[in-house]
Amino acid sequence: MLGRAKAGDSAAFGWLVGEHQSMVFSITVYFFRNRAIAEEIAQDVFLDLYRNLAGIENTAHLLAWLRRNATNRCIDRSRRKSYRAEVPVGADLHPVSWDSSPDVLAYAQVQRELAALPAEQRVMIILRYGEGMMPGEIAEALELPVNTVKSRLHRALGALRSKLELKKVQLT
Amino acid sequence: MNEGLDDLLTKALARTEAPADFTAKVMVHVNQRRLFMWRTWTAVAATVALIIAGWSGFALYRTRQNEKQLVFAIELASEKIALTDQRLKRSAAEIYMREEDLEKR
Amino acid sequence: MMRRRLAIGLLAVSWSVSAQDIDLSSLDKLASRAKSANRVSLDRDQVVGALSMLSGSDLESKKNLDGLKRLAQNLSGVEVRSFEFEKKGQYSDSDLAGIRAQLAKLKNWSKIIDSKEDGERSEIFMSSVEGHRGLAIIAAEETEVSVVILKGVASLKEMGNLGGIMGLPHMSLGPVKKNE
Repeated sequence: MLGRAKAGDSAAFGWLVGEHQSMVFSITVYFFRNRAIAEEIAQDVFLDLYRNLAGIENTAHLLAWLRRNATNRCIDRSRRKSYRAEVPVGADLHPVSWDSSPDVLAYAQVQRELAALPAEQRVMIILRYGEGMMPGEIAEALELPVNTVKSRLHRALGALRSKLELKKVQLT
Repeated sequence: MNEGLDDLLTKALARTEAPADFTAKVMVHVNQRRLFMWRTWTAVAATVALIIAGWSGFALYRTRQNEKQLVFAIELASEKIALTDQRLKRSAAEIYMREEDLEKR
Repeated sequence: MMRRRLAIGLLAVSWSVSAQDIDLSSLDKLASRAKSANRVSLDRDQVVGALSMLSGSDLESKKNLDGLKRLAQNLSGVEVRSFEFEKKGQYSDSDLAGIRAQLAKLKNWSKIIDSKEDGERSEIFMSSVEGHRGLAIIAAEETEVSVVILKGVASLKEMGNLGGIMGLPHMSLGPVKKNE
């Protein structure tokens, strides 16, 4: 499909969008906790992909490219403009249907505290736990030294832990 | 303790679905861009065609070029107005005067 | 006396010419920095000739063609300078200063919309003088800048009527409301 999209087949490109939109949207929506901004940025990521298809070598490269582009756009946007998280607690950001079970409330609390972290730390947490990437993979995708990734992750986790414990979110 | 936070984060940040019309919206923008790029390549292709066809077809070529340029200009203007329209909906814009006021000047 | 009449006559001619024509040559230097550049300059005769060629061969439907023809019938001239750059920062706001200054100075042109977001800006101007109506757009985006002048377009509504066809989203710009 990537080859066909690169050759100009717009249906193939549409397929690529469909295949990877969840990943890109998840990164942006957990970063901003604002669906409108998340959707806009996710769209920009794919438009940028369309402009740069020729440089994408294979599927692995595509995934890394999408993650890097999405995270860079999130960080850029967060620096340029203030925004407010619109989404009420738990309502939209979790795949299970809304209920008031302790798990869903805890997830919502985590997402809220995550959104309060500095942008560079937030991105690390989303890639590590949302995308399941190891620090080495994050470092490669974002073209950062692996020690930088590890130290940001460490600080982010420390900040999240103390905030969540303060709010009595069950961590075990 | 670590496993608890790790597990909680993994579950809290599980993939979530994009809006149902996400792909459609992206493809609208992609098609707009294809129109823009097509104009550029058409200009190049038309130039090559001119060299091959020779001067006898020049007048017809110029008129065809004018046609493509006309369509390009109108579509570009429409695209930029559409972008402005979307931006106005999202953020405050400075609007200088009503069109009706303009008519009265 | 004769000399004074000649001077006034020349001034009147130059005013009416400058009221119509905006000099876009200050943008030509952007072509060397751009990865793609489009330049359109059509007078009334060329627009009429182009209209006669419109056959719908590259348009999706007859509806597109009819809408386009209706708009183009009023056009007395078209000017476009459009540049796309490899990366942001390859042009600056000062590159557009000359055009903006001309539009601000000309009595018949008025800015009706100035919209900014995330470092991008679009300005829409209209000329309402009978016989010199027109629409001018300056669209400055991160890696793309376009200036479009459509002479003879009487209102934004005419452009808005193109919405929904040619793959473009329907536009609701038309009579504008004063910002609160």
